[in-house]
Amino acid sequence: MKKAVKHLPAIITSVSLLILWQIIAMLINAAYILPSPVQIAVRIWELREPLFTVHTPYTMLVTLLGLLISIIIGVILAMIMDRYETAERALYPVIVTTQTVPITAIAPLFVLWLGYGIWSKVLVSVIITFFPIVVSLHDGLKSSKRESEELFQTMGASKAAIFLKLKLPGALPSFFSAIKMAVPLSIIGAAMGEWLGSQSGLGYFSKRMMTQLDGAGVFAPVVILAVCAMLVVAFISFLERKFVKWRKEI
Amino acid sequence: MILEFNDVCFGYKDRTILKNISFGVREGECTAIIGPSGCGKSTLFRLINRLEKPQSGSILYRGQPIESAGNITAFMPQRDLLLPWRTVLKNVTLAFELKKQRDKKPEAYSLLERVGLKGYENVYPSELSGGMKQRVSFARTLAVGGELMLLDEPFSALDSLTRADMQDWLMAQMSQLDKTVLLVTHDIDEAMLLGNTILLMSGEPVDKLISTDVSYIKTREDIYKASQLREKLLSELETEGHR
Repeated sequence: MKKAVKHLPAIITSVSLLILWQIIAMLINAAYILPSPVQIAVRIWELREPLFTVHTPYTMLVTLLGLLISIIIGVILAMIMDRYETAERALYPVIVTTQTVPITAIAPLFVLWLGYGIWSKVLVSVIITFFPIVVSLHDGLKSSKRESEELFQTMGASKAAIFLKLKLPGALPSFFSAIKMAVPLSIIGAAMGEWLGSQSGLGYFSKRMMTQLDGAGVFAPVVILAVCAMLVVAFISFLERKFVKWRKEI
Repeated sequence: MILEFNDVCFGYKDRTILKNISFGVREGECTAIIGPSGCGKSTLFRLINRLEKPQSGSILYRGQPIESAGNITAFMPQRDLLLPWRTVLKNVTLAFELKKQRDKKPEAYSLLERVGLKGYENVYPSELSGGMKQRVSFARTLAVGGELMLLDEPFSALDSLTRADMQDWLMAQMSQLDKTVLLVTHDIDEAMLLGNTILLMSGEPVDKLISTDVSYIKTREDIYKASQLREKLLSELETEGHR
């Protein structure tokens, strides 16, 4: 009951916006320009088979592969930059530069290099996703206080012990925040990659529906993408509560 | 002497902090070090903890260079620096873990009982008051087990009432412990109450430590009986602060 009350403002806002959307769509009365939420829901039901058996699994696979690779790259880079100052000076500007490159402009190149298969989309997802992970985790590792590190040294701690028992647990909240930020980005990256060149996936499906002027069909995969993002973020939040339960104590 | 500083010089970049200072610490005693802010009190601890090396001179532990002495110190910092993700018990066992000593939970329990925190083992630091956190920090320092306890202004972050309580508590603890204690403080009363000897850091940069025996002061009443000494130390500290 308490939980329901807590979420009440969000529920009221969302339902109000949907009602407003429904009214505006009914007033415009042109589904190819602005389909109503009801029309989108109906279209999702009609297209349930290709959407849920082919395209959603494909996009989720791209998303999860992109996220996994980003986490591996992000964690390794953050650890190296934390350990070696020279590496930090060498890598940090390069990492920031990767985010100034317009991905939509160069993504077709990835298709050229890696083909229409899954990896060109995974690459788009990785490039978009690894940045928040590496930056947040790096900041998290740096956030341990110098005096705490020195206290560990006075207790005879090795560098590995300082990392494992001080820096890493201290960086966990930043890590989870980064993952929560990265999940929607990873989904956007996957859909963007599919939009630019693919034969399956929700991004590809949305583009195909657009060529058919099927407004509700364009929105259907977008809604599914949003729901997927919310579910994955909710799962990450559950893990965060489990592993960083001390955070609420602060 | 358990610890000796011989003509030790130390500084950061262009700033000399300690210039040819020499002093000794007697075993089993509490030596209080006082001096104005920024004079280098904590630097002394950094040198003893081997976080810094003297630029010249030597520091001896039981007559041997301190560099080769192993883990001889147990350091209690100004702020508790408890790890928020560890419970009170796990903050204490950390000291054992870092020494790769396993199965030390019973010792940690008894240390927490000693500092009056029985029943708080599974509580997170954020749920404790300032004084309780300092007691956990003290228990962790005891768990480190070094012969030389270095207490760096351990109660400076507490309010005056809690500080007075903690001073009485620490005095009782020290009387039961067979430890040599070095206490850095800027509080004359704290130094007189807890110390057997007071070392006043003098000069800019510090070039000598003026030693005063206060072993006859055992209670707060004694401090007020020794009001002349208190006034003298206060005025010396003030003079050093104005340098």
